[in-house]
Amino acid sequence: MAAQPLQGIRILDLSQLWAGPYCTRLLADLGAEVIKIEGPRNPDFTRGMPQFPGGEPGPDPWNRAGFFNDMNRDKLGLSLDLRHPAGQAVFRRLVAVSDVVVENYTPRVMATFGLEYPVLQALRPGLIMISIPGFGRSGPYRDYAALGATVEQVSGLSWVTGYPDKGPQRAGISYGDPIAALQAALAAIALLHRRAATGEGVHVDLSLCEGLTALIPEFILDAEWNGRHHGPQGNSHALMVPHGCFPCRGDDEWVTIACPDEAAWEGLCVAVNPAWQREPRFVDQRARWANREVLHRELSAWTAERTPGEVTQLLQVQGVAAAPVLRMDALLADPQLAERGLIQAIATPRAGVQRHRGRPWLCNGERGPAHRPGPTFGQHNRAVLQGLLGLSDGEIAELAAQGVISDRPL
Amino acid sequence: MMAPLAGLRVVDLTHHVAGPYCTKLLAEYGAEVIKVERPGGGDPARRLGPFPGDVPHPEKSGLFAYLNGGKRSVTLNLKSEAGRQMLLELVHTADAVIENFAPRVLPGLGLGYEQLRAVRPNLVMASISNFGQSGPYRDWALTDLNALAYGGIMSITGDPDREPLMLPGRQAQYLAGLHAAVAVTGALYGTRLGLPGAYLDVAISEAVVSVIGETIVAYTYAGLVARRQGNRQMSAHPFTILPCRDGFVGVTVLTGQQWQAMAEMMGNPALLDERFATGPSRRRHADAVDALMSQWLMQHDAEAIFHSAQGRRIPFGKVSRPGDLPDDPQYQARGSFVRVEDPDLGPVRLFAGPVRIDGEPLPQRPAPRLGEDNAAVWGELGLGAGDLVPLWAQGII
Repeated sequence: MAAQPLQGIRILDLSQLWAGPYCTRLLADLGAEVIKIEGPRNPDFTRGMPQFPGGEPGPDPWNRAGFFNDMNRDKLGLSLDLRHPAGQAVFRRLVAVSDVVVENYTPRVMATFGLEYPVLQALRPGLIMISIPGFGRSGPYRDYAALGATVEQVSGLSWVTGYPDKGPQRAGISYGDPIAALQAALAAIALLHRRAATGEGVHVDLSLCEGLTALIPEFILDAEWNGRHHGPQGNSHALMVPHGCFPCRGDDEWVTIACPDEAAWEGLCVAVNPAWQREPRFVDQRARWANREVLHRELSAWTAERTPGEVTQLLQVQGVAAAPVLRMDALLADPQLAERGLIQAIATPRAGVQRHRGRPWLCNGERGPAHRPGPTFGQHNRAVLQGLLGLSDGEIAELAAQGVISDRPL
Repeated sequence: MMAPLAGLRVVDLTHHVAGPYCTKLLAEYGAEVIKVERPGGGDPARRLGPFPGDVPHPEKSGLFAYLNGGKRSVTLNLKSEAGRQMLLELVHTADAVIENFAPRVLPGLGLGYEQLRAVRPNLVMASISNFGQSGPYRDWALTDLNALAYGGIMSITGDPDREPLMLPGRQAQYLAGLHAAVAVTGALYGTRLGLPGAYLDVAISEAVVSVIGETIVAYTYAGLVARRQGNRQMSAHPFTILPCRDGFVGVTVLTGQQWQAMAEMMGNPALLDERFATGPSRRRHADAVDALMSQWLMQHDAEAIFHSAQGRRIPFGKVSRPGDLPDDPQYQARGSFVRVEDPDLGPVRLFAGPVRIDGEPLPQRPAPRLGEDNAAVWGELGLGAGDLVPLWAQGII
């Protein structure tokens, strides 16, 4: 098996839900060893989210949860109560042999455990710690409750999301989480580069909210420079026309169509209505923009007679950017996705063989080494405590007796 | 602090948004990014607004300034043999090449991974494309709108009874750029340790699929095909955005305790009706719940509602207007917007990203003027003024 770039890097993952776990999963995808640490009384929230095999929670639902398995594949599972002095002692010993700590508690929590960065850095001088709090570790909102929805709203993104004739709308995913995860993974790797050169560690403070603000520059600058405060954008584009989501034949079936340039417009005319090319009202981009409502209506009349797949095929062959709105069943059946192998079957310990997303890139044409499933709760307690730290059977039993570790949520 | 990626040289063949966002991030972390632009107009993103006063100018695009801070710029005609040779010589000195042309473009120019690796054995190369370098859709066109539709996000965004919604701006391209930056810096770390370089194939479409949340496993595990829920969540309420006196607020309540606290904050005992006792029951009566909450919301401003709720540990959010963010106390406290001295724009305020190290954001620098580093970069390869003048005349640079 080819060596992976982050092989030999050990990451302690204290995070929960999506941002931290996706960050460390990306690092695992590059070969890092990730030890996911969950409190016996504080298992990862995603272990309780109701995506169970066949809808059945089973006797141990916390080991059968789909989103947990998706975000936490390729990680070792350690249970450890960081509120307990014995748990803190174990964690300190782990830090001494690890390279990176990732956490997304509210800012004061690590200090209440006596595990703030200066303490950890003393144990491991080159330690890189990545904190991913909702609003950052400083500022007046520092201690505010920050769900993905909350930060999406404060970040500025919600203001420009939605139908133009209505108010701001929530995104269908907690978009701030994967964005922060990607930013955090990048920060961790960049700082590993620096550590390789200087030996120095660092504590990174990465605001979930600001991760989204970073992705709306044109709206911020147009307001500042030109006093224009854009509202919800719908599916329109500042320049491209046609550009939108059009109804198709079937129940709740839609296709998206965009013409990035004149060549695409000509291709659209060939496919849909060659007469459009001779009409003054559509003669150039400016005319089409002015008449976009009627253009979209006429295009809708054409798409409404066809399925999204038919529209896509007819338009793509003419160089028009078209793609169906795929729901999950159609997406998982898509031929491009299948050919590229993004979705992989993984044999999970307690949920059977399930399909999960693999590495988000090909490396040298390959999707990469096979994935290991997400851990059951405390699955690698012994491997980590004894195999890595050298604790005796007696010491492990004592931790279990105290409820500092567990093989099931308490 | 030493810049994390100092000493790494990246040849940046990207244009528009996806690739440039990747290389912007590398530049922020201190890599030397040499942006190779086509002679004449350069990166087409130079033509994209906003422009100050809506006056277009190739060195005053706000989007370009944001996406290309800290990079160097050379011009090169990759379709000419002379240009091709110059690129190969430049790549010989580089650690990474990033590109986002359509899949057959660079191989068609004799500048694919195999040719570039031949002049730089440990090269890390990343290609960002619409659907990837392979597969039946390899040569298909794709904009952000299409990517979000194909990638499943639009199927769960928007109202159930009208067209699905995209996310605003260029989100699919940012997702691809971010994934590429992670993969590239990872592969480069490997080369520090003596591993060979790598060819990374990042698809915009796959970057989108990779960030669908639990919706995808709701299908693969439990057979549920999720539908759009509008501004509401399927199983509990409130988890929505509602108007208030001067704008909008995110109204989010997760626990019974938060619901009680919210009812108290709004001073409306009608909210404590047993019909509204649980999240699911509130969802069944969502219209009635919204009407009751709106009575109070419409009498208060977003800012006050936000702090009042958060003070009671209820996770409300104010819906910030993007133009107001530079003046927001949280953003000011964190120094999130910094002034960059741009030769043409003057002092311009740019958002400095979500990362803080020792309280400081990553350094923000101006974007390059088109080709401003031609003399320096080609000079390093032995070309002097006597060479550059005819190259310029022939449109090679």
